[in-house]
Amino acid sequence: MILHTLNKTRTKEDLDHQLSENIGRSDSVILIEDGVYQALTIAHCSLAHWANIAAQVYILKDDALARGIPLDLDNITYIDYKQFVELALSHSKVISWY
Amino acid sequence: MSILIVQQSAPYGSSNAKEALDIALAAGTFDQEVAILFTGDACYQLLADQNPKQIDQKNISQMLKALPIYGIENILVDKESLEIRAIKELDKDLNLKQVSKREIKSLYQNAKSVLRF
Repeated sequence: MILHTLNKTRTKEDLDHQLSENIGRSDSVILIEDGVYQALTIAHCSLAHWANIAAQVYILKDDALARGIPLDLDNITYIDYKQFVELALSHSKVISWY
Repeated sequence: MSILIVQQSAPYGSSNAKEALDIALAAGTFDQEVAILFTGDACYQLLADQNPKQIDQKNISQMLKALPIYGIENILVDKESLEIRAIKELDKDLNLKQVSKREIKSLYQNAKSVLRF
């Protein structure tokens, strides 16, 4: 059970690809910083994409708010910093994709 | 394996390669079990005959040769990344093991901690 943090837009294709290849079904992803833009496109990505493998996709609410990302997207859990810390503690490790 | 250090940057365009190496050497000094994986553009760190003197930098591949002295023998390179970049010859003095996509996934999943640079 790994927590993956992703802080880049989908333009950094290789990063998305690497995450998709290495993520496990019990792992979760949290979108932070410019990674929050990915929330707009995950509804129509392929089955091999990390968004369709991850157990949960989280998004840091402050970063979403700052960038004008809607706060009511489906299949995404909005969290604050405190919850981010809790998630980091409840997973076996955190891997940063940047 | 306890610490997996993933290198993904070319050697001289940023300080990532150097920083990853510093962490690896420090961890090795403290007897931590370390594996280093070269993937993506980090494969360019492994080319022979690098000569970065002209750009006032230290030769990364020479520094990588110090890894075994620090007890780091597990030096891995992503086979697919090499193929994509048409890299056929690597520095022969580096004792590299080529790993598949599947092996890489299990490295990520099983390491105690993963540091990416």
